Amino acid sequence: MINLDKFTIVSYDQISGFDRTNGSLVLIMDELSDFSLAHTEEKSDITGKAGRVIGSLKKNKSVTGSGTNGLLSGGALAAMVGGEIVDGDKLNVHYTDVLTVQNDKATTTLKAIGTAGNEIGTVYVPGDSGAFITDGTKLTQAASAGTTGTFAYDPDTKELSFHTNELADGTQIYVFYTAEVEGKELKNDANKFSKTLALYVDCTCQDACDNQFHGQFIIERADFSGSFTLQGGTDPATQGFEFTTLPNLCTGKTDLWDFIVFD
Amino acid sequence: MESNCWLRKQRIPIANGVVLRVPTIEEVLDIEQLYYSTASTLTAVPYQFMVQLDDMGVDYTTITEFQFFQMMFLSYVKQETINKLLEEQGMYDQITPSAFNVIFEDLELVGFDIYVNPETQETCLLNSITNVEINEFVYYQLVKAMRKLNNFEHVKAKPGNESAKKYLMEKERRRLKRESKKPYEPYLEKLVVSMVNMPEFKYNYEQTFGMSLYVFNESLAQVQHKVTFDKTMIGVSIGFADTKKMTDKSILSWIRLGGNSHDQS
Repeated sequence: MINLDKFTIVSYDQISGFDRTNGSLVLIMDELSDFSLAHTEEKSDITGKAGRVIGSLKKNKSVTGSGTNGLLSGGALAAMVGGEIVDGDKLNVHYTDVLTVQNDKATTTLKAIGTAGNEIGTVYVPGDSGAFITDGTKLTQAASAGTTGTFAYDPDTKELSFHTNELADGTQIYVFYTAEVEGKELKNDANKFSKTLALYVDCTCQDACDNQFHGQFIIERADFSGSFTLQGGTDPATQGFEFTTLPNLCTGKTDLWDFIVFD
Repeated sequence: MESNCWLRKQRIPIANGVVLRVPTIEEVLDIEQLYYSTASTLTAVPYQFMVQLDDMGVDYTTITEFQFFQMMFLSYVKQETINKLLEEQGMYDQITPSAFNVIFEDLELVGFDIYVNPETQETCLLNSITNVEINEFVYYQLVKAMRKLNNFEHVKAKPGNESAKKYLMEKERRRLKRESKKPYEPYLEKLVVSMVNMPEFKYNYEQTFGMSLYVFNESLAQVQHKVTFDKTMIGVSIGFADTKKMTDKSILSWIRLGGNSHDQS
């Protein structure tokens, strides 16, 4: 049995978050590089005769949890933007293809969708410098590639057809188009805000005799902050998060958190 | 007479026939992964191998550190025995490299086995060919020296109850799964590059390569301490750090005082 007179928390191991309405698992963060529960309380002195402090008024007790997970968590992102992650088989993405022309034809990787006859719109042919935005030629989509500077596209075969001998075999071209893919989608809706979840923080505790125990903070209402930065570049993106714990008014419980060490 | 000062030691006699070498940085760098893998395995405690032991059906809380060492040591003995056979048959390309010749001085592995004292029922590792014996006392002296030499910590943590045991096991399994996907990152090599490029470290690459591992580790700890001291003092001078609020007062002196934390208790 742990001696809570003398103990330490040696690691915060995992945070799991659940939907407070249906109890479903929303997030798991188990690559915590740092985590803290910051506690604040305001205290005003009550003074009496000659300004003596005769008591104090305590108020505004608050607990804020914050930390960083080494990996991005889709569930945590959804909680912070107030969205849901949904499975979709017809999600529109904008796709970039670098294709090689062969016999006046090329084939897109995915089926371009959009207004019939204008699914792709423009094909970019790089100039001698290799640039295709500031240099090169732009071909325009038409019903048929009957004239120079035009191309045709058949969505069923995903085939691009160019005017005869306009582009030499082996010419690299760039096309940008909208396509449907299967995937998972998270929307960041301006009208939806960060969520309040039931949160469980698992940690490893150790007493003065090096005995380790499993501990858990139970936070019935963790109000996630929607202010965060998705950072990338030379360092990998990490998941920074912050939440404020709230008393559970529905049940009348005023606990900001419960801490339990397993026996 | 051999010096008692670890800074001057090149070998550390533990018992009859059991002598630890103090390798140079160059020797370790040549086989870094193998060296640290072997040294950390030999100094590990059952807690650190809880998953592997569990997979073997062994409860890590029920075996002693010495029993675990015997298991690990015998696995190296088995490997060395196979290596000897392969060598005799000229199959040199199939020989598994070993770091024992860098860690120990002339320790012949072939012939080691567990010997049970019929009177006390205590077990030890005994080489029937060379008569070298590693009993529990020798083991503790050996790992104490190896930890000090390599700057390894003696892990003393243990689960406090059954639920903690299960929890720690799951946590460790997850960690190992993650670690298995990561390639080995040179540890000592990075330390050498970092140190050689620190103004507090006066030695160049060539001089560092010839340094003993213990001397390098001690220099590393001192440089780390000095850098922290300097930064702390800057904070104190400009008023950002309050010495009264510091829990670790040792940082208020640039001389690293206090004992080596790797000593066994």
